[in-house]
Parts: sequence; C-alpha cells; structure tokens
Amino acid sequence: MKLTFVVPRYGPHIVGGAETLCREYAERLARRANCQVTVLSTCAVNHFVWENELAPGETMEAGVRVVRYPVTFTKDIGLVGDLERRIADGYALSASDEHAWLVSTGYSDPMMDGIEAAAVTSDALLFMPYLFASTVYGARIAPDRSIIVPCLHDESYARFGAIGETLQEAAGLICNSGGEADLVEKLFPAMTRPMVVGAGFDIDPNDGEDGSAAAPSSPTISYAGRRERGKNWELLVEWTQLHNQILAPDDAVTLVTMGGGRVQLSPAAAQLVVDRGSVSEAERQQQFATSTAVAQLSLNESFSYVLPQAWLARTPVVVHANCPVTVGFCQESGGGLWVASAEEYSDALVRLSNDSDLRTRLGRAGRSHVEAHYSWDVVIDRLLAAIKALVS
Amino acid sequence: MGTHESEAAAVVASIRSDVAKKKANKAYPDELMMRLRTELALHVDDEPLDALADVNPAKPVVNRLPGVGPVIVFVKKVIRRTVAWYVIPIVGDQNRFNRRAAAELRNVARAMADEDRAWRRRASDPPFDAKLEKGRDTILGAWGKFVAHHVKSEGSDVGIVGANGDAVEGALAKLQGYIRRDGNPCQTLQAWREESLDLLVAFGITRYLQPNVLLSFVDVAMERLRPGGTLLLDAAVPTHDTLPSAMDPLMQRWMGPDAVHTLLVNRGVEISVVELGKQDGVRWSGVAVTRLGR
Repeated sequence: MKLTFVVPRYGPHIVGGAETLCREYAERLARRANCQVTVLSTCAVNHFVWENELAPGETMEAGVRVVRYPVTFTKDIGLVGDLERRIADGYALSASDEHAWLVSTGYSDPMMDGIEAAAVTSDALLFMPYLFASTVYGARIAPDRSIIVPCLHDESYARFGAIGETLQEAAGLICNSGGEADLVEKLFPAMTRPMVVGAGFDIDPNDGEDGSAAAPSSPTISYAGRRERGKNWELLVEWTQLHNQILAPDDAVTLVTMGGGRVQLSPAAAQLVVDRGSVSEAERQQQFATSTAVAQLSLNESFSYVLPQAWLARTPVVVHANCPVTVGFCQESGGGLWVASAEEYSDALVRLSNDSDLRTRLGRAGRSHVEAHYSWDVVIDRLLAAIKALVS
Repeated sequence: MGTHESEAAAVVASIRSDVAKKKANKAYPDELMMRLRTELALHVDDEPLDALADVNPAKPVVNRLPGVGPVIVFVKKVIRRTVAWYVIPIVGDQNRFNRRAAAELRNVARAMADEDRAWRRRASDPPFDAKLEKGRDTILGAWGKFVAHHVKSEGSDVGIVGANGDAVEGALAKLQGYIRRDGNPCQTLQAWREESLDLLVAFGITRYLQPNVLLSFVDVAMERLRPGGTLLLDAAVPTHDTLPSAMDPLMQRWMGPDAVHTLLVNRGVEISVVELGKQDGVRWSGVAVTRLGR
C-alpha cells in the first residue's frame, strides 16, 4: 500500500501533538512489510513565523521518504493579528478573510504540485491536522483519495466555512477519540460519523499488574503539558488553591507541574506549585506513579496523551466534565473522575487522597484500557483498516 | 471492565450529590461562592455571534419515563401547538433583532479595524518586508553598532544580538563577533530563545507598528530578556518646524517618548527615558524598558 502523509511541519525536533502523531504513524507504517510511506511537508519549523529553516528536497528519515517544500506565502503578522482579534471577539470571518488567515499558515505552492503528483501514485493521502493551508487547500486536489486526520478542537477556527468545505469533500475523516468524532457530528451534521483510531503507546510487557507503582508519600496532584490558559492551567492552579485554602485545608495537596518553557506564578500560587519544568519521559512516568492523581482540566483536547500516560503508571486522572474527549476516555476506561466545579474537584481529591483502594482500582482500570486499545500494534492495525475502508 | 466503568461513574455521581447537599446546607463560604460565579466562571460557549443569533422556538420534547412518557410528550406537543400562534411571532421579532444587532456589531468591528488600518498602512504602501531591505527596520538598528561599542567600552560583557538589512553594518557586526539576523523584527524575535538576552536594542520599530502590535512586540521582547534585562526603543521628539522634512514617508506615525511611556506604563516593566541626540532636525529619545525581577 502506498501512503502519502501531508503535514505542515515534520521531523523529530518538531513540537506539536498532531505533528508527533503524524511521525509516529508514518514511521510505524513504514515498518510494515506492505507499506511504502512518503511524507510531504514544508521547510518550516516555527509555526508562528513559517520561515524556511530546513533544506528543501527529498530525504530518508527513519525509513520514511520525506519531501520538503519551501513556504511561499509570507505571513502578514499585522493582518493576522487583526483577524485573530475579530475571531476572539466571536465574529465569523468573511470568505476572503478566512483565506487571508489560512494562507498565513505555511502555504506552499510547490507543495500543492507535489500533492497533485502524489495523488496519482498513492493509494491514499492522509492530511494532518485540520487547521493549516496544507490540509485545507491540499485535500481539495484529490478529495476522493484524501483522508483527513483533523485533530479537531471545539474552537472558532473549526467553524470556518473553508474548513467545513474541505472536511466534507474529503473521502473520510479519522478521529483520535470518540469525543472528537462527536464534535465532528455536532459541527457537520451532514457528515457520516468519522472512524476513530487515536495514538498508541509503547507498553512495557514486563511492567505487570503487580508492578512498582509507588504509593504517594503525601497527597500530590501532577500535571504535564503546556502551562497556558488554553489548557486551563490557570483554572487548575485556582481550583487547587481553593481546595487547599478554603474547601479542604486538612487534605491539602501539592501540585507538581511539568512542561517546557517558562511558567509565571503569583506569589500565592508559588507556595502551592512545584514546577519541575522539562523532564524526561521516565521522570514524568515516575512522577505520575507516585502521585495521588494526574489532573487535566483542558477543554481543548482531541486525544490527550497525558491520560494514557497516567494510566500506564496506574494513576487515576481527574478531568473537566465539559471536555467530551477526556470524559469519554474516563467513561470508556473507568480510569478517572470528571468534575465540573472547584467543589467537585476538591471532593474528588479528598476521596482519592484518603481511599488508596479506590485509587488503585481506577488506576488499574485505566491501564487495562490502554493495554487493550492503545498499544501501537493495535493502533496501526486499526489505522490501516480505516484507510482501506475509506478509500476502497 | 464494566465494574470499573460503573465505579467511576458512581463515584462521580456521589461527588455531585455530596456537593449539591453541601450547597443546599450552605456549607460553602459566601465569598467562595461569589468567586466561583464570577472570576472563576468558565466560559465554554465560543460559537460565533452569528450562529447564536437565531433562537429556535421549537425545542425537542422528550420524556423517557416508561409508560407515561409518550403521553407526557403528546400533551406537551399539544400545548406547544396551542400557543404557537402567540410564541412564534415573538421569537421571529427577537431573531430579527438578534440578526440586526449581530450585523451592526460586525460593522462596528470592521469600522474599528478599518480605522486601525487607515493609520497603520495604506494599501499602496510597499509590503512590510520591502522596507526591511532598506535597512530601516532593525532589532539592533542603525545605531546598534554605536550602542555595541559603547557597551563594550564600558567594560561590560553583555551579549548583543543584531538584525539589520544594512550590508556594511552586517559585515561589521560579523567581524566584531555579534550575531546578526535579517528579517521582520516581530518574527525574528519570536523565534529567539526565551530568557537569553541581556540587552535588546530595537530602534526603528515604534513608528512602524500599530499599538497592539507594539505591545505584543514588547511582551515577546520581555520574555526573551533575562530578568533585569533591558529593551531599548527609540522615540522621536518632533517639533512643528522640523516634522514635515524629517518625516519618513514610510512611517506610520510618530511615537514620542511620552506616548511610548503611556502605552507601556501598565505592562509591569520599569521605564526610563534617555536622550540620544539630534538627527535631521529631530530630537531622539531612547526609552529603556527593563524587565523586573533580577
């Protein structure tokens, strides 16, 4: 099977959930005997400025043929800033303004030619994620063999008319979770329900049920990811502050956070939060394993890697009840609790801190779910089946 | 797995029940409840205004009670139909108002954006990047070399980063061991590492950027500076007789030191104004914006 992925930025050094997922898909498919995988991408690394930093042309990277094209449209920061402000204020953009915004996301003319050529020789073209010129315009070139892995969030951009047109014309969509598929149905009622594949995880077979998950020495809530408003990081700090200071001072917890970049904390929050900054995967899993729970209150998730990561460490999660994706994960697995307010969050923390049996049962349920549905072999089988079904 | 699933759902239901009881018993402090309703309230509804304008008068009628459920649904539908002659015109009026209000708000937003653009850049102006080629827009600008020499002569080992389209200065910068990058100042700066600079000289910037972009630029600059680091902007002090001849036709506006100070005074930074000298009949000031928290 000849498969071509189209993604705006590609490589092991590229930061981004969808970009990482694309690389995992491409490299793992390339290891299958019957798959030839090509990735079409741009020379850009930074998705704010879209400068051409990587060399154009063809390379082989981890068994994958990668072709990079230069970005040919220069982003007008002032104009995009104006449009962003209008979007943030809740206004729908005109078709021409949507176009002006979309072409500023790394549009490449030669890449469009490359997609046209690849459409002739590939069994399927897979575009990731939804919010970039490479997908919005690229998937229109050969829609009958274009599959979009949108990584869709419930945000204003998802309601762009141009994006709706592209998604609805494509051969099909592959979502990362049932919650994301629900969102597609909500935004585009005329579409058939997308297939769900998701990301996979390397599961250590020696790490058995009676593994070494250490009991937390003191109640600790862990968070890993971008510490920014879009991920409800500030809400997590606020709710934890309320828990410690007003709602349950006798069951106060420490909030341990991990993630890249710099974090700014108010003096009050600084007493509560232990920020470990960037940590290795092993350090993160060790931190999860010794935590009472892992909290993820973000509402903008299409998959949320942190949940399976917590479950692999046999630690339950606490998620926001208004995020269909993370709640769906918890309902399917039984590995976590969903809360809608600071009071519910605090109550959940008290229960998890004081009931080690409950904590253990929820953590194990989560791990069983990951083992059954999210090992990489299972995920790649599911992906191949979905591709065949959509382009056949 | 079914047991675990139902256990998680049961725990969530139990939590909700406990919280509801506590609320009913007024177990939570009033101050907390007020904060939760106001500053900590979560807004999850980000649908565009236009999508929310139309109110649907016919909400689905559902009742899942076994036996009586269908009867209740039938009765409610009869009631709905009975009052439809009265409700539907009212909803129609409301929808007309909503659509009109949404359109008016959209017009206001457009007008404001046009207003902003009018004094930012004319359509006939060359694109922003074209100006860079003439060496006017710099991160370490036309006077960067001067500042670099001055800082070095003071015996400081401050690292200096420059961006300039001017070939001569670029070559000098290279010879003197400075890092030089050409390009749009905002973009160049955004790509830079956080907390990696001690001094950032951004001459020839203020007069080209609209205020909100300048504020973004300063925010990005503050993130790239180490605590205690300084961003040095230039600002003209125009007078009536010198202004026309000294006015750069590509400038978008004059931004004097007072205007820069007013714009940045609430950004949590330390601001001081220094005299730089006179050029082409215009007195120039430097505005030093220092990141707090050394």
